[in-house]
Amino acid sequence: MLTIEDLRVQVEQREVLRGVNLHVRAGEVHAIMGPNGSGKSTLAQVIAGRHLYEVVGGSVRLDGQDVLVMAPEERAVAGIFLAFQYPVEISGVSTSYFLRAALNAVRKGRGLPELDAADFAELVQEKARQLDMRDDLLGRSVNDGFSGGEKKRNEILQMSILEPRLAILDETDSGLDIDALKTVARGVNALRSPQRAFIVVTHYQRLLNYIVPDRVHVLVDGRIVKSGGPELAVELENRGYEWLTAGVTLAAIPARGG
Amino acid sequence: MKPVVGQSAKTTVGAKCDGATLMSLLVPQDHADGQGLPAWLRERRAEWRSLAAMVTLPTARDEEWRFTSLTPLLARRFVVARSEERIEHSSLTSLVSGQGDGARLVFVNGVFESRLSTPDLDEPGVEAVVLSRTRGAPPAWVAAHFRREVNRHTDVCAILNNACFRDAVCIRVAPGAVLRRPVHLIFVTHLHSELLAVHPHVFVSLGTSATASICEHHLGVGAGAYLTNPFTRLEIGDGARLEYIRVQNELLDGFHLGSCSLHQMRDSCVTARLLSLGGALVRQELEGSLEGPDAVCTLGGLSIGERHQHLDTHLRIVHRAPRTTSREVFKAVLSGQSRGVFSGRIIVQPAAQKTDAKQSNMNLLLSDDSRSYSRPQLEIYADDVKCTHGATAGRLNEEALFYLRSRGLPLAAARSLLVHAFAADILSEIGCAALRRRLEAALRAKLTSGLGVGELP
Repeated sequence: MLTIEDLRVQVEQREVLRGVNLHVRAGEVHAIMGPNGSGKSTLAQVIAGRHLYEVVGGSVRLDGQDVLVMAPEERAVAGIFLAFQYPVEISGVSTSYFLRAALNAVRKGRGLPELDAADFAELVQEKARQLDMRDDLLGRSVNDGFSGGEKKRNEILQMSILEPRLAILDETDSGLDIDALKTVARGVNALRSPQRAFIVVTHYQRLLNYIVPDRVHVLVDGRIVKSGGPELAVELENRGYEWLTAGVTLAAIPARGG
Repeated sequence: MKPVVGQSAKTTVGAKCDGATLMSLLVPQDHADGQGLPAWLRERRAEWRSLAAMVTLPTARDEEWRFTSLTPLLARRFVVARSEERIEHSSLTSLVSGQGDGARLVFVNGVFESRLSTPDLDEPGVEAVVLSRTRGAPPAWVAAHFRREVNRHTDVCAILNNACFRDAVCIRVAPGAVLRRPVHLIFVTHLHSELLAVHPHVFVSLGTSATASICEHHLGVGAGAYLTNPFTRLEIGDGARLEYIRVQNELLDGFHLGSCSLHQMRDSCVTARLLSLGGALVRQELEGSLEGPDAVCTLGGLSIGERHQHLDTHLRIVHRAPRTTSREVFKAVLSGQSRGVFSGRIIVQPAAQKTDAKQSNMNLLLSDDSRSYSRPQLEIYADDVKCTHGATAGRLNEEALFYLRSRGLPLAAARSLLVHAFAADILSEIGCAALRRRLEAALRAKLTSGLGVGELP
């Protein structure tokens, strides 16, 4: 479903991704792990379309479609969803209004009829209940005053409503206690299907006990240096990242010109 | 400070330069007085006129008017509207109705228009005295209001208003009375031929533990320039609660110089919202005095500017008693070449220990040429207080835009959503739902038709 070939990304003249290759098939869950600063979040945001990052080489294709020429809203319609590491607070816009506007925008893009307020309310309340989210959060401004756990669950709520084909979780576990983690994992696992793929970006192995990946990739200094099965995550938990970072040339690589 | 009456020397406000006085805004025949006011007020009126003839118009060299030049006003001479003019007002009916629940007092060109107003205030515990409808001696509490001295020579808006108002409304809410519906005071300037000057004058007094909601609307009908110069005094008794909403929606060629003077006694609570949507040159002043302990004052403001509008909000809040609280949240949405100015002075006197004051001014600049000026000023003379202030000016948050777009909202829809959300905040928690909806619609209309922001998705 998703093919990333030799992706090179700069931010402020500094190369952050130095040739990433990744192939994710429908139905699979891939974990991207790595030390801080390795470029994990950058990879997630570039796939979703954040303009802060400049793509200077390579390609990202979703079922053959060139994703990099698509605006963020077009990528959403195509089925890409990013669960933010730091979900944005938007005061003045209620959570339920926002979710309905988003769902209808995506449905419209796919040629589907929009949901009216009543149908939508039923849908969102059911999904919120499944994620142990308090009803009153739906009436409040998006993420405004939400705890860390509530923000992350709100991301999963959005994901479950928008039903993406490719869901990217950017350090969804950071800042969560074990109970919130389990709830988030339950929500994610409930969405696993043969038609859907996940990329789970995480620093710690713990989340992967609950969202068991099919493949694990280790990103170090902008490149995937090792890939393996779920046991690779356990090995990283025991040995840390040094045994992988030591082998990587850390000398400054000049950024590509032009 | 007593007004300077009877002296021959000019009283200057700020720097000595061109010397144009407040009365020079008006055509010379309006300098003679008398018309339309009851006999008991004429002597006072003469005193106010003398004062206005001596006080000079502020210039940019005056610290308090640094960012707002009154030069565009000086180019014109305004005519104070005559109360005896017969103008067909039935066309205004649709304009003034539909505010929602509550009594409505409508003034056209500064004078009460009974045909457009509701017959009475319709609730127990409140009385309204309209000068033009009063015969004989006024009630004592009304007379007392007009005997009051103008507080400061720098109150140019108030001084001009006192010198020129043709009519006034005084509202008193009895101690303990709880008004269930807002009272709407609607001031319409109905342009016909000349450059009109209109001077609405409002006095509201809430007795001990009274609760009321007052909404003032200022709007223009027709085309062309004019001057609206409103003055409102709000006296809030012990434990009383007031919701005060002031909506300025003048025509885009109109000038608006308005001031509001707020006095709160102990334990009182005032929530005020100032909406500024129209006008070529607008100066809104609010002076608040927290005179009794534990008084709370929550002020919110929103200015929306397009083209060449200049919208100036000038606040001065004085904490005079302990444990008083003030909150100021003032926002502006500016596009085109418009200008937003915010000055917020907070003074905490030595007796006002445990004052809690917070001020925040946020400016959303939607175009390259719009500008905002923000001037917080804190004067703190007590040593156990909490005072914070902050100001921001900038474009829409890029991360918030990306967040919305990544969920499928197209860029234009995401921008509209964020702009409307930023602006509509001020209207949350307005008591009367019908009024809130109407104001939301006015706000949306200004953003979409005026500023070209898209509709809410």
